[in-house]
Amino acid sequence: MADKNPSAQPKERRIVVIGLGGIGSWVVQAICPFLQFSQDNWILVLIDGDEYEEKNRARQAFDELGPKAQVQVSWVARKYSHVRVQAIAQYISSGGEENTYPIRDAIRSGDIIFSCLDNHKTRKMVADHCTTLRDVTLISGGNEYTDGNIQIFIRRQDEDKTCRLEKYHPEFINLADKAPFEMSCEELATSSPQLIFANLTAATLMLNAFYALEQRKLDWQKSEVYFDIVANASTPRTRK
Amino acid sequence: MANSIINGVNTLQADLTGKTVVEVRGMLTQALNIDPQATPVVNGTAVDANYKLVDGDELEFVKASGTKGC
Repeated sequence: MADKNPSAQPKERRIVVIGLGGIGSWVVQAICPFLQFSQDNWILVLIDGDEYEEKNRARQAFDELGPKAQVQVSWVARKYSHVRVQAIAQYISSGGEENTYPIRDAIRSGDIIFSCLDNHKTRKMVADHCTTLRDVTLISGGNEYTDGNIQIFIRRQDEDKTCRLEKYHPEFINLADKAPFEMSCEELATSSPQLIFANLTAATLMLNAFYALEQRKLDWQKSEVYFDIVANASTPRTRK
Repeated sequence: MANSIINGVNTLQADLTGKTVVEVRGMLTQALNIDPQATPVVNGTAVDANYKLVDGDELEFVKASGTKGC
């Protein structure tokens, strides 16, 4: 059952987008027009330690090369005067090690987080941090070449309202990957191919979840959605 | 009444009442491309491999989350 009376919304509301690549850049593109004409007072925090390169144009939405967070913040500021926007041009980490940004300073109680990352280690770190907050909405997405999923984690008044990301997903417990700041240049340069349509589908489903939550119409038990663009299908799944 | 067997967006309807989860996994691993690590969930609740399906049960092998996105 949807909670009809979630904790009081803060007057100033924050959306945090972590990862501004194939999924995150499209989330930013679509959410800014929505926020621009919203009655709420929004702050958009954009986090990524990577830079846009020419090769990224095959899948990612940006208008100039350079640090992803700075490029997106400049774009948002030019086009959407009603949206206050902040760049964090660093990777996040649990403790702020190796020129990274500490997650406790990036994500606060009351935030709505779009986790648009490319590794489970950072996804899990973000999710774990969210479990320490009083009120938080986490919308996490990921894809393979033609399929993927999104997961929604909600806490209100220090209580989990949906199951945690790892509950049915051992890949979040037996972590096999690395965070970007732990990778060598060679490892960072070696990435498996992705398809823009898979990125866009993940972004769209994440935004759909955001809108349904805003409308207080999301069925919190259906906190995971799978998609497969070759099957032209997306399916919510019940998670208790 | 049949059972629903789910993996990702794929659903298969079959009468598998009385079969255990491990038996169903063995039968449908290739047909539904089920990962050996996938967690079995019946009607939204995790179950162990020896759980026997009853009429109408919905068995999902929870597909791993997408890794990429940046």
